[in-house]
Amino acid sequence: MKYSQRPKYERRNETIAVLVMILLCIPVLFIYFSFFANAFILDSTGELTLQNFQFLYQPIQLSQYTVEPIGKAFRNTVIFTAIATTLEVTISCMAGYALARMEFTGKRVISFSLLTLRLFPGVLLLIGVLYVLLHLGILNTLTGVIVVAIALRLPGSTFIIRNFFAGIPQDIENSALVDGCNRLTAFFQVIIHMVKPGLASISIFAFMSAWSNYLLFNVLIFNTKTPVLATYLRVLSRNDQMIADYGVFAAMAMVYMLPVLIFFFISQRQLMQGTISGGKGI
Amino acid sequence: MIRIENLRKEFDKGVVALDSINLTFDEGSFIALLGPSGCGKTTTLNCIAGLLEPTSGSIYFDDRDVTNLAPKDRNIGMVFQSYALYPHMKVIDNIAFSLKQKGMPKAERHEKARQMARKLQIEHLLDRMPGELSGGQQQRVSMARALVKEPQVLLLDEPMSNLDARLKIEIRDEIRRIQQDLGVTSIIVTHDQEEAMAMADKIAILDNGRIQQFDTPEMLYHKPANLFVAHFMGNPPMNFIDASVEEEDGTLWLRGGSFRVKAPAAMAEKLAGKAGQAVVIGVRSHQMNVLLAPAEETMELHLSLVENLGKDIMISGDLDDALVRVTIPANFEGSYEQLRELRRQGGSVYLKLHEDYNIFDRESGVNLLI
Repeated sequence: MKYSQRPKYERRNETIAVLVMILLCIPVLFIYFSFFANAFILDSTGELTLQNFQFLYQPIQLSQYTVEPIGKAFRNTVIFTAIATTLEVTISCMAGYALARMEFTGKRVISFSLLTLRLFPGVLLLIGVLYVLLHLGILNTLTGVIVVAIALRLPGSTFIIRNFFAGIPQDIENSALVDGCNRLTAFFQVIIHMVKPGLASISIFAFMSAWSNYLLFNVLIFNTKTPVLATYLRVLSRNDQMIADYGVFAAMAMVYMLPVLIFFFISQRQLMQGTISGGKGI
Repeated sequence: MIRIENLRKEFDKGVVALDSINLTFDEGSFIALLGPSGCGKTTTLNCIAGLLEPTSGSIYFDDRDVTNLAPKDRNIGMVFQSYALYPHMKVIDNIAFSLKQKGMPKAERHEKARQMARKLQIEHLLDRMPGELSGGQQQRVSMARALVKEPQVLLLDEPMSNLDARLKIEIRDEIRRIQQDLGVTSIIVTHDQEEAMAMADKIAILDNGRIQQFDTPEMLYHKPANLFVAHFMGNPPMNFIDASVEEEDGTLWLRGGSFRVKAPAAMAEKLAGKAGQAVVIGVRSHQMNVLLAPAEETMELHLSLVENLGKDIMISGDLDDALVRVTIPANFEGSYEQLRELRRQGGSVYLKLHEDYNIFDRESGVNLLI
C-alpha cells in the first residue's frame, strides 16, 4: 500500500500525534530561542551583535569584576578531556577484554562489583575521595581530578565494552590464533575492529562526560589557577555578583556546547549503530 | 602423519571430555571424527589445533611433539563451522591474513591468495567484503584461507552444517578433490555419518569421550565393533533382535521369542562354546528376504507400516519386541498394493535372513564375530 493511500483513521491519528508533538516542542523551542537571543541580541538596543563574545580574546569588565579571556580555561578543558577520554577508553577496553575472554581468579567478583559500583551515585564517594587525594598530595590539581574522573567512569564503560567483546564469536578469535596471531596481535588486527560500535559509544560517552564535568572540578579544585570551562562559567553566577549578565553567560555556554555538538553529529551514526545492535558480532 | 597418544581432557568440575584417545593418521589421508553431539569430537580437534590444552597425553606431527605448542606454531589450517571470516577485511585480505602474519610482502601474499582463490573458483569475489557473500561462498573463502599457508594438517570443524543439502554435496566433493590435489592430511569433525562415509578414508567414531571404532567406512558399515557403532552407522538404522545361542547335536541355533534360525557356518565357528549366551542379532534392512508365506527358519513380522520410497519399498513392523525395518528390492514376488492390503488386514510377512548379519553380546555390546 502506498503511503498516500493509507486509511483514514490512520491519517486522523497522525494529525493528532503531530499536534501533540508541536505542543510539547514549544517550551523547548522557547528555551533555545531565548538562549540564542540572549547571546546575539543586545538587550538595550535590540540589534544583532557579537559584543557578548569578547571574552574569547580579551578580558572583559562586568560591574566591579574582571573576567579573564577564555583561552586558559579552554586549554585546560581540552587537556583534561583528551587525557581522561583516552585513558578511560584504553583501560576499559583492556579490562573488558580480560573479563570477557580470560579465566582468572576473582573474575566473578570483579564482574559483579562493576555492576554494584554503578548502583551508587558518584557524589556519595566524593567525601572519601577528597581525603584520599589530600593524602596523596594531588588535591587541588588537574591530575587529581583526572584520576577521580576516570575511576568513577571505568566501571560503567568496562561493563558496556565487556558485553561487546563477549559478543564476538570465539571461532573468529580461534581462527586468528590458528592463522599465526598471538593474543595481542589478534586483539589489534581482528578483535578491536569487531567492537568498533562499542568503542564509539564508550568514547562518545567518555568525551561528553569529561567535557561537561562540573561536579569534580567544583569540589576538588578550589583555586582559580586551573580554571576549566565549567568553573569558568561559574564565575558569572557567583553569589557576590548577584546580577548575572545573561548575554555573556549564554555566549559562553554556546562556546562550551559547540565541541560536544560537533563531536556528536560526527559520531552519531556509529553511536546509534552501537546502541541498537548491542554488540552483535558480524 | 599424526599420532595421538593417551589423550585425556578434563574440564572444570571434573567433567571428563576425552579419555585415553589413541589414534594414528597416515600422511595425506582424510580422517573423519564422527559421533553424536557432546561426544568429544570437537574437543579432540581443538586439542590437535592447540586451542585447548590436554590434561595429559601427547600429540605428534610426524616426530615433532606439538602438545605444548601454540596454534600458530603448529602449521595447521582450520575451517570453522561459522566460517569465522574477519568481517572488516576484504576477501583477498582474509585469505592472505596468515601470510601477512608471517611478514610476507603485500604483492606476494596477494598473488598467492589469488592462486588459491582460482583453485576454489572464487576469484571474482576477492574484492568483496565477507558480509556480501552467500553461505557457500563464505565456506569457500574459509577453505582458501585455511589452505593458502600450505599447512601440514587441515582441520575442518563441521564445515558444512550451515549449508543446504544440495550445496553440501557439491562442497564436500570439492573439499575431497582439493584435499587429494594438495595431499594434505585432513581431519573433519562431523555428526553426519553420510558425510563422513562419503569423504573420509578412515572414520573414528567417538562416544562419551572414547574411541568406539577407528576403521574404514566399509568396515564400520559391515562389521561394527559394538552396538553403539551399529546403532550409529547406516540409514535406515540397523535392526536389533534379541536372541540366545543354542546348541543341538553340534549345530548352533539362534533362538528368539518366536523363531529359531541356524547360525551360518562362518558364524558358528566364532560362536562355538557360547551356548546359552544372550545376544542381539544386528541385521540391516536389506539383509533379509521377504516371503508372504511361512517357511523353514523364517521370522514372522507383524506389519505396521508400508512405505513406497520410489526405488524400493520399506516395510516396518514388530518382531517379538523389536521394531524391524526391511527394504524390499524391486524383484520382490508381491506388489506394493498387496503389502498395503496385508497391512490393513493386520497380517504378517516372513523374513529370511541372509548370511551377512552381525551378532552382538547383549551385555557388553561387543560384536562377537570379529
